[in-house]
Amino acid sequence: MFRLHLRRQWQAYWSEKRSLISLGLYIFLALWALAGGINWHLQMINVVSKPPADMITDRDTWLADLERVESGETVSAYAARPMAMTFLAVQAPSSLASLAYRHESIHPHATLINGWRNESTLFRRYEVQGASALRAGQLDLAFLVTVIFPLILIILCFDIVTREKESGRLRLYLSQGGSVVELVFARLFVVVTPLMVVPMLCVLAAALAFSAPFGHVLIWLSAMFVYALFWCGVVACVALWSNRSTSAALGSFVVWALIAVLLPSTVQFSAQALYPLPSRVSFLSEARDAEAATRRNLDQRAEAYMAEHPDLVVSTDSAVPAYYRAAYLANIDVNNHTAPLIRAAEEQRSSQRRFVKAVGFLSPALVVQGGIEAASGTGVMYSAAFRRQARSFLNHLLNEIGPATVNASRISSSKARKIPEFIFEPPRVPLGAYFGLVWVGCLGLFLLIIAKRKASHVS
Amino acid sequence: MMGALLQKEFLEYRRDRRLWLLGVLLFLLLSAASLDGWNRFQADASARASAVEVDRKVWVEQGDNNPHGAAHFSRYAFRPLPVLSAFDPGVFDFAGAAFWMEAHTQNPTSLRRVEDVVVHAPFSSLSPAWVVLVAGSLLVATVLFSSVSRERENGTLKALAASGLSARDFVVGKMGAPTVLIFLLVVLAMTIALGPLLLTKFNPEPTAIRVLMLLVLYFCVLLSFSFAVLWISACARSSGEAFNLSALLWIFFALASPLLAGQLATTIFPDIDEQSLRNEIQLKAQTPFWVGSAGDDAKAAQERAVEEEFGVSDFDSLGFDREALVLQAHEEFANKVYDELYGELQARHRNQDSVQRYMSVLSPLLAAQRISAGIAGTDLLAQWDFADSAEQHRREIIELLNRDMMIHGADKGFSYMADRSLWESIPDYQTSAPSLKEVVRYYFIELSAVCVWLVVMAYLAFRALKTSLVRGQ
Repeated sequence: MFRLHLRRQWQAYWSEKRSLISLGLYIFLALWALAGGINWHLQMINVVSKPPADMITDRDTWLADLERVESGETVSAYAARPMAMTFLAVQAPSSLASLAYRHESIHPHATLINGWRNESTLFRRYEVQGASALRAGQLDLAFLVTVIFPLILIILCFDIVTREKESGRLRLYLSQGGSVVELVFARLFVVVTPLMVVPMLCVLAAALAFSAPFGHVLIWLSAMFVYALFWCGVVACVALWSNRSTSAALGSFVVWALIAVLLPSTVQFSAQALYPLPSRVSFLSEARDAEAATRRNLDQRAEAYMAEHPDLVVSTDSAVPAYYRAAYLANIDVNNHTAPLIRAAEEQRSSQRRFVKAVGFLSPALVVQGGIEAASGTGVMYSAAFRRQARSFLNHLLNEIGPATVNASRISSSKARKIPEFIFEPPRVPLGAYFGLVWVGCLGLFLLIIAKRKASHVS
Repeated sequence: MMGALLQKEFLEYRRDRRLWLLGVLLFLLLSAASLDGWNRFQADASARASAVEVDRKVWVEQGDNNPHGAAHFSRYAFRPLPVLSAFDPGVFDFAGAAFWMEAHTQNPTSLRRVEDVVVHAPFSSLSPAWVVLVAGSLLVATVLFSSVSRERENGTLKALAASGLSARDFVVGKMGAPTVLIFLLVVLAMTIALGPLLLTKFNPEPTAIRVLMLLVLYFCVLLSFSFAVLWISACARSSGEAFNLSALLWIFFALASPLLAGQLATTIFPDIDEQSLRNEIQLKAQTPFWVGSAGDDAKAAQERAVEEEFGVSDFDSLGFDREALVLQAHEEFANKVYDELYGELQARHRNQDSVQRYMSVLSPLLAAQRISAGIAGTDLLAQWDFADSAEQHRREIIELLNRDMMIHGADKGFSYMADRSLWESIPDYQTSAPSLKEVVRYYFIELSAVCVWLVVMAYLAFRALKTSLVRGQ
């Protein structure tokens, strides 16, 4: 009997104008999202694979100069100075990033790290995107799955039962021994299948194009599956509990607006309102104040630094520009001075994350988006990790080059070689991040069971 | 009869549980968004005031320093924060709030608030303006979609026609009731959203006009949307169909059109990537001048300009510092490159904005979103104004510093030290937001679109309502 329903619904699906238009639009948007994502991915690879033009001295040239100094050759007073030792830090896009890149343009993906930088100037001149386009965001596959997929499912399924009721066919159907359970589930299956296959093919295409690990692809597909399960449950429940098509449509639509639009915005807003971050402008002011104070009292500051490093011998090399030392000391003072603000910001961020984790369960759209971003290697967690690692690398470098810079000398080539290149370590996604997906799956199953029970009682 | 019909409509609104439910939701969202908006405004305004003060203090009290060293440390310009940003933050969260006016380099604006977000919602974060527009229009669609279709389904439309009710009375009753409802809704929403404004210090005259404009704008937009829903309700075969079409209209107007406009804008005019801009700056504005010979003409032109100004034929006879002359020559050389590079960048942003403008013709809600940000002073126009005026100020102050070093730093070059009197003579950055006249001129197409939508929708609703009563179905 179920097969008969499936065949009937399948034929109805491909002959309905509503279904064909919706599916056509859905495929168009999926292809647009995929093409945009792949284009962005290739652009990012291009950006992070080439050393920038303002990286004046590359590491090899710098080391070659240092070796010439060590072998007794005469070089420029500016050559091979520790302050000029520059590292390129990049956050290369992960293999599935093209599927969830909607907000990636907001964050920096590359920076140069050297002694001339401090934490307030580490990332510079990356804010070049148009603000109004940035506000609108990009259409990516994650958005298609979390927002558009449920909407189309609702449009195509909200009246599964009420249409039959209103036309009087349901009474006839039941009198002939038909089952509402089979009717509902056959329709849902027929509608969901193409809606799932389209993004699945997009995920597989991106995975093949960028050689994505199987595990990540699996998480992506699982996230889509549990989300589809949840929305099937919602649609089935609303359809079965409604007496009229109007109330079924209204009910499904309000649930969608709540879960996909209002709740995520409210959660984001509440997190920011309850745990506000220290202002970036205040952070800049603190940094400027600290830098100015160091520059004003440079001699005392240098003496204090030498006192902290009693092993240092004061160099008499007058050819070394004094601003090397000034800039270095100002930078470490800026970092020390702003450290409490950064700590406070990190604590507030953690609190926001905890809050989002706690109440995000109310909106499966947020949970699935989180899971998808984790599998795609995008989102706030990754960009925050990149910034954190770049900051930590900068501080490590400043520690390594400090004594030589203040002492107006050079570090040894063996010590310079020991400083490793910056390699971005993707953050380890806690298992808890995927627990949300299990929750959504359970919720979906629960709703489907309730719907099945209700359907079996419809007479 | 018309009064009775209006009374009946209001009675139905009063009895409609959906209206009350969504009304309470709207009230809660609006109250929360409003409180947060004002908190944010107070915190940002205070941080900005403090930053301006610190910047001036740090600058003036830097002690004896070489003017070029000071130009490298330089000063910051901070974006003015209009009081209505609490109501509509516009694009300000997505654009830099500070501008570093350093020597040699024009920087993009920096410190975007959006980078602090720990979770990105699919749509904008709640702001009072977003709630009024998006949740308000959702409420309108939900309440009005069955306004005529239900009368038809229940047979009351035929009864009304048979009772001798004139088409005019019917139309006025059906369109008048939502007009009053929306007026009350907008006034209530704006009172909640802008209430805290009364508790803050602000310049009342221009802000009051802007508030009034916002009120009229939101009223007109929600009214045109309500007429569109009434038209659908009158034309649809059933309430189900009316609901589907109203919901689709809301989705397109409120959610899809801003997204599609943004997507289309970046597809047609893609953003320049950050590294390309940095590379161009390095390769066009820095390396050719300092390493190559591309700066020779700029140095000669600068030298001629100084000779002309001081009425001599030989720069060296003035006893001025040549290093400072070269520094200023680089500024002049680089400024032309910056005009080209940042001009291209801004042209791209303007083109992106134009795409959104023309898309807003298709959606009165998108048009209203853009105009609202313009009236609040938080749109791209205000952002460009800030970036341009800050860059002009950068050029002025760097020139003043180079000039001081050139005139007073003879024989000393970079070891010349200026004192507090020079730092005090450098003017502070000041700017004013674009005037309402400029805003109206810039958003002329959007304003026209809102008016056309209102008139067309009112006409269509009028025709459809009249026809449905005459036919009695």
